[in-house]
Amino acid sequence: MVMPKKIAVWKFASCDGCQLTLIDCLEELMALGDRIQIAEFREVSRASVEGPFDLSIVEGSVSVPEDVHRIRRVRENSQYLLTIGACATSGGIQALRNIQAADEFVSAVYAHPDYIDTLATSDPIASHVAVDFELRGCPINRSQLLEVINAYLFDRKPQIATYSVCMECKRRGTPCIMVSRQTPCLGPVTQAGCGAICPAYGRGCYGCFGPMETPNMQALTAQLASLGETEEQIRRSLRTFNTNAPPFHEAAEYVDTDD
Amino acid sequence: MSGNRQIGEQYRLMKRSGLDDLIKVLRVLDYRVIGPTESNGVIEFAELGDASELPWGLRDEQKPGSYSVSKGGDRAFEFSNGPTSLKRYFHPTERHLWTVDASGGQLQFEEARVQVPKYAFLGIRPCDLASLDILDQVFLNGVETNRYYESCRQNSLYVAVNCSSAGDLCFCASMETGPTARSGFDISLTELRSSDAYRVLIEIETDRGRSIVNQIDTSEAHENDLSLAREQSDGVARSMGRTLHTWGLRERLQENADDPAWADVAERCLTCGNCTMVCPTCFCTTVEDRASSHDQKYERWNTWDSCFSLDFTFVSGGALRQSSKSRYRQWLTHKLSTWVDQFGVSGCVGCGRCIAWCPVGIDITEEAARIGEPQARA
Ligand code: SF4
Ligand code: SF4
Ligand code: SF4
Repeated sequence: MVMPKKIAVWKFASCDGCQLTLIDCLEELMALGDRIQIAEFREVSRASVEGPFDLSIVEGSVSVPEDVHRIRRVRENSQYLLTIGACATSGGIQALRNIQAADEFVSAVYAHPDYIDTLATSDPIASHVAVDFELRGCPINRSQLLEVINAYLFDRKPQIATYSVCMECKRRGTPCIMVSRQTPCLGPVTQAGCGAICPAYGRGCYGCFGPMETPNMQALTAQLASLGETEEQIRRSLRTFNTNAPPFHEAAEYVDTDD
Repeated sequence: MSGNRQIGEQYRLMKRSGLDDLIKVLRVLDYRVIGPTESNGVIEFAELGDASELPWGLRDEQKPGSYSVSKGGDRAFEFSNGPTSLKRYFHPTERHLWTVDASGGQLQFEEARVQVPKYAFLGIRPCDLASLDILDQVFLNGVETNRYYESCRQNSLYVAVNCSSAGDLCFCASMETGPTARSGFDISLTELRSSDAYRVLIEIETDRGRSIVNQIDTSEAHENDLSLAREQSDGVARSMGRTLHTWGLRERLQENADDPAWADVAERCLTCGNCTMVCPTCFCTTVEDRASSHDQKYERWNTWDSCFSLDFTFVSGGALRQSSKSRYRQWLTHKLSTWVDQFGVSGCVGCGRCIAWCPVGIDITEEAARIGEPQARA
């Protein structure tokens, strides 16, 4: 008889959307019967079982001083650590504050800035503790999540593609919208995983899954400029859910299209 | 008058209504008719219900990294190739191979049962026909026969269209694959450019083709119709938008793996893989095991892959082709050079798709001309 794997789900700074994707997988997870035991999942239940855990699934970024300690405790108590979503893997949209002084936002937004205790930056989990696997996306893709959990349970390598969104567009049969409509698109520098949804509806890729394996930012930003995008537009398109992912961050900092 | 001599049973003429009849006959014979049609700003292969869905009076304009459709002319086949080749019909983007069931305690393997459709392709360009010959080398004459491909190829009917104008990115004349179809079809059509009403010259190549043509309204073709078609074809061959100098190319690419031009193109290349996906002959795949944990079944799938992806050369310890340079070099060298070693012909048919559909407009004919030719570098 196989011992059930103890699974814990932890939330850091995030919108909870990725946890909702996990909830959406509960039917499949429940079908695993006594192979797994959900020890901690606050979004679903107040019940809580003590660690250590076999698998911890972490959503959200490290954003307040308390998070720094909490993520260390999670790591110490977990055999395998899986981070899910753009917040946990790159810092999320809240990492926009990384490029400005955070206290300026705090005083602009909150009536009592003194109540707020925040770190200067919003960080991916992996910049604080070792992570075993990072699952990208804002939000993550349900079947990719099942694949990673499955791979963990059966002790194999997760099959998660790291190539461009273009490959998914072509499999889907969507003609390239940069070529046929001159629509600016981040697909060529973005990792696959969403199934190339936006281009199928005529919208350029927003980069939700972060940088692909070998993104050529210089070549893409030059092409976006030749499609008529201004430097400011290019910068803004890179500064979204994965603003803090190094290739996107650097390209936005140094974008120079000679316009 | 000798010019009006009849030219035997191999050729016939039809009017515009002949295309309606043709599609009707094919559908009655239970074929799924796949032909060009305009949708979402591109002319693409899709299933056709009748001849009104053909892209009548439309042309396309193609440049490196750019494609658009505009109005012009009054014919159905005035455009060049769209983004999708026939590859996806014979070699689907993903295909279920087998399932293994572990629920009974023992592993039970079951081959996937896949229905192979019966297609009639209408309007295949000569370059695309040539690409099927090349895929035959890969899937039928290789170590192992791809049975899906084989059945699909056998089930299908082929109606070719000879080009009556050349696109800006076309170079079939260089690759000797066009602009006129020579074999591999059941029927070929040539829209005749003349001041008379719309007429199509039909060439019948197979018995299957003949029995279909016999069911549609056609008239006798004459010597001057055939010479008009030949003149058109010569004109198209002379007006190719691109040229690829193939003489010595195989050796030149293999002998210049360290040419600085590779690094130059790697700076522009996104390693996105679009070129390999739109190319009618790129055939690479990977296998994926898809698990559905709760019923303990695993499915093995075959899905399109590309030499531009890092995992393509993943071995213990990592990917062999790390640099973009090595990956671009693999694509170009395989296509135009080592393909000849492997299959006896070039892997390129000169369709121009990889030039139009590269998001940054990298032109295979220009890059190939630079390698090993320092003076060609600007
Ligand atoms: S290499 Fe380019 S031009 Fe040649 S067959 Fe492939 S897509 Fe067409
Ligand atoms: S060029 Fe690349 S994707 Fe195309 S057949 Fe060769 S190795 Fe495969
Ligand atoms: S040559 Fe063009 S289409 Fe091919 S991988 Fe490079 S950028 Fe993409």
